[in-house]
Amino acid sequence: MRAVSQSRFRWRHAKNRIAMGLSTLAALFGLFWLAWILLTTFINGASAINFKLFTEMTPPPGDEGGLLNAIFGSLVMVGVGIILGTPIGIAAGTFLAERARRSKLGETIRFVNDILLSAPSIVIGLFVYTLIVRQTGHFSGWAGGIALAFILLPVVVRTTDEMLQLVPNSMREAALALGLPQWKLTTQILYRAASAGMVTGVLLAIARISGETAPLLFTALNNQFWTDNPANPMANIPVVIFQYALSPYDSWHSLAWAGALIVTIFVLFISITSRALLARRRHGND
Amino acid sequence: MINQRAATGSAAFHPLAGLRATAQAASLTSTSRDNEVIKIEAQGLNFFYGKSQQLRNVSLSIPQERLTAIIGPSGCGKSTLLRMFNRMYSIYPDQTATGSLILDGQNVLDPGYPLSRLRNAIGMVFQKPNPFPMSIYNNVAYALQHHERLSRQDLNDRVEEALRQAALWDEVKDKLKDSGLSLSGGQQQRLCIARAVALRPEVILFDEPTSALDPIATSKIEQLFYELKSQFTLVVVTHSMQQAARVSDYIAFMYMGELVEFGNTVQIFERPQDERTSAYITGRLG
Amino acid sequence: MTNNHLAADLPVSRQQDAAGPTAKHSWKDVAADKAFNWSIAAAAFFVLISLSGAALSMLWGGRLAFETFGWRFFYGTEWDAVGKKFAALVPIYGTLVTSFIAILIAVPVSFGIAFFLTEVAPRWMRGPVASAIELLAGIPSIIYGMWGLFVFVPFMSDHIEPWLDSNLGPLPVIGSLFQGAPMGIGMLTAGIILGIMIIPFISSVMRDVFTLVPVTLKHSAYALGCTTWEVVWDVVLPYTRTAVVGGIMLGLGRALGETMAVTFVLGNAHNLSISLLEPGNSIAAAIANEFTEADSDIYLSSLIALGFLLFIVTFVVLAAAKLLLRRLERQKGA
Repeated sequence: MRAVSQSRFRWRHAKNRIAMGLSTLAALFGLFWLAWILLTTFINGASAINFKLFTEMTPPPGDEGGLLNAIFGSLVMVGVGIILGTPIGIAAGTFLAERARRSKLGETIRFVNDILLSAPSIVIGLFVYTLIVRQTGHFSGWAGGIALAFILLPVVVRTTDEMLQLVPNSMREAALALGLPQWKLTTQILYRAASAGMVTGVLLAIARISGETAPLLFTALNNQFWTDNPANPMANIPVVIFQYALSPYDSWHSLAWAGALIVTIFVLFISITSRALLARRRHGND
Repeated sequence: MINQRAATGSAAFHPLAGLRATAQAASLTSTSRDNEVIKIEAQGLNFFYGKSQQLRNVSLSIPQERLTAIIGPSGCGKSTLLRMFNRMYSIYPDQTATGSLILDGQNVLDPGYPLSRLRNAIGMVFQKPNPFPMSIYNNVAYALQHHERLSRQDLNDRVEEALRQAALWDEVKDKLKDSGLSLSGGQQQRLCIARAVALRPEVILFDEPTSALDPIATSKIEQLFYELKSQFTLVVVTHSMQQAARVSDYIAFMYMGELVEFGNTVQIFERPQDERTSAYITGRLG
Repeated sequence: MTNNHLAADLPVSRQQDAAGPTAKHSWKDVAADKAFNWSIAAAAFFVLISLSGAALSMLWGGRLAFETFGWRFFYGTEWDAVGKKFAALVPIYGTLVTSFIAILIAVPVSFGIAFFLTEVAPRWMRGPVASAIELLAGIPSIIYGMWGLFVFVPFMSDHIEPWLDSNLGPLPVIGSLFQGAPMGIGMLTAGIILGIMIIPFISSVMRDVFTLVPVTLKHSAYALGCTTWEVVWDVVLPYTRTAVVGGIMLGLGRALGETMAVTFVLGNAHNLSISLLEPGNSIAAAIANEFTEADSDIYLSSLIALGFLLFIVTFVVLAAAKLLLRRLERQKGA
């Protein structure tokens, strides 16, 4: 009897050890891919980085060149996305937090927004293609920026909603008790109280749209030449990476790696600093 | 003031005797209690939270430039009654009220009475200090700028005046640009008082203003009541009978949504007319 | 309820007062508040219609394909740009198979990571490791695709696939899954990359729900002499089952719609094969690869119809995930 329970005890503890060992392996497994992907990108990217990237246009097949037009196009389209998406997102998030916190309508909009948040970005690309490119008859930087705005929008809606809900109700009552109107209360007191979280939300959304490729494929397309007019098709780093990486030319491959490194550094920099910013703010307020 | 302290000390030995002494001491400081000017006349107030009735047929007269305390066990509706005076309930869609509150000849519960004007005339200070996330100066100036068009100089004067009235000026005059949130709890609460006083209201409502504060900060606020009631009509909800005895001129005793008794402080403590009132002040109720 | 209306009702003595600066201000405030409320409501409504707008626009764009091919569009295997005959079974199959492989890899690994982060790792290690795992979600998908094409595909074709082909290939039944030339490109490679991509999504949901289990519940299990593993497997996991399934669905939704990572490594081949080592296609990859080359209306319409299909499938999966996770969010809010 005793021997049986002894061996059973041993087996249970051995099982525990194995499980804990496997879980550590799982964590290492995750970190392993992270390290591998980042290292490859840094090594290949670093060897392709040079001054010409920022001064020359994307080259014709097999030639040397830079990414100037693509970097510019990406900045323009991300900018358009931010300018269009942020105000609508903040306004919609405000509606959810301040006007529809527990209503059926609010729940429905939150549900739809969460679906949009995780919807495949290629679907957003097709949507904007039928909405804009088909109507205007040509690809354009504007269409690319609008597609990015649709991807940024749900992120901003969600963080604005969540952050405003965290502002204590006593702040609203205090302002209303002083006879301040709703819009002043919201834009000048609640936004200020929730600013750290809202800025982080926008930054995370920017990080997300900066690397998006699929929605730009059929909206902005690409452009081998310089254009500063968003009504034309516009080059952008993600689509350049896509086309150059799938090409047979070594010079294009190295430009694709350089682009990949630039995008990765940019995206990781924004997401890490914004998280750190939020963590420090939270810490400071406690 | 010295009388008061002594009286509070003796309250430790015999609660009722202490309260009576305190109330008598307080009454020495108030004058001509017979011909009071009525500031607010409440008639037949009913209040509903959804379908449940929280207040039943409450009528009382708030005398001008006096401190009226509303006391009663928790859940008796004392805060609910207070929040009717500035229609604070109207920001919650499921809360409704009937009856009339006459301020200077007009019923402020009439939906046609502009909220902005009502809240300019009746200020409010809350249970927890809730300064806005802005500088000390702007905390006071913000609502003032909304209601009145003032020159820079006039605005500075009004802010200083309000901070002096709230007995905070000497502590903050060198750091007006610091965040209001950097102050201690007691200072924050006085900042909230300054914020309310700055609009030069006629009435100031206090919803358990010292329940989140330590005894020293509490006594500072209580001293402030004496100075404020020379200019303003004060209505204070408090859960502390000691505090009511120390600071009030009149007391309204609420029980289960009804106003049981209203009278001057000495009378309430010495000759309560209702059995429930005497049960409450001797500690047998709630 | 304007000021004018009010003033008319007042006794004469109060009218001057009511017409003062404050009263005038309050009329403006009411108007400004109305405008403010309308504009935020309009923005929220915009979010609401943009989802249905996306669905309808793709249904509209794909109607030519649906009308022309009918139900055959869903079960046919032909994809012939010259003969203008299109059907979606090959990309549907590829999408499902790669997502299935991804889930097969990601679920146990994510569970292990969540277990590690909530019970096994020393406290100082939890935050940094969790952040590092979440960085995986921050890497743009095109980087996964490029890394997959230039680094992981050669690795698979040199080391993994020859081994699979010679060791698992001869086995009965499952052997047919692993036969074929070790090109590196194919559904297995795509599935593995997808799995890595969705690990951070699933593991962060699991970690969140595991920390929501009441401490008293865990402590009483420990008090009965349970090991850490037994507490997680017999107490924590059953307690959080719904939300865990929700997290897996969320990851599945990501995997189904992921485009760039698979486009690079799938091979864009419109053939139906049992072997996971063969090139294939997925809905998203087909759209990404062929959209700008589509030279006829029916070709374009077929691709948009594929997009509509993808939208509907991910909508159903994500909606299910959301409903399963709702309970978790309520707990969080409480």
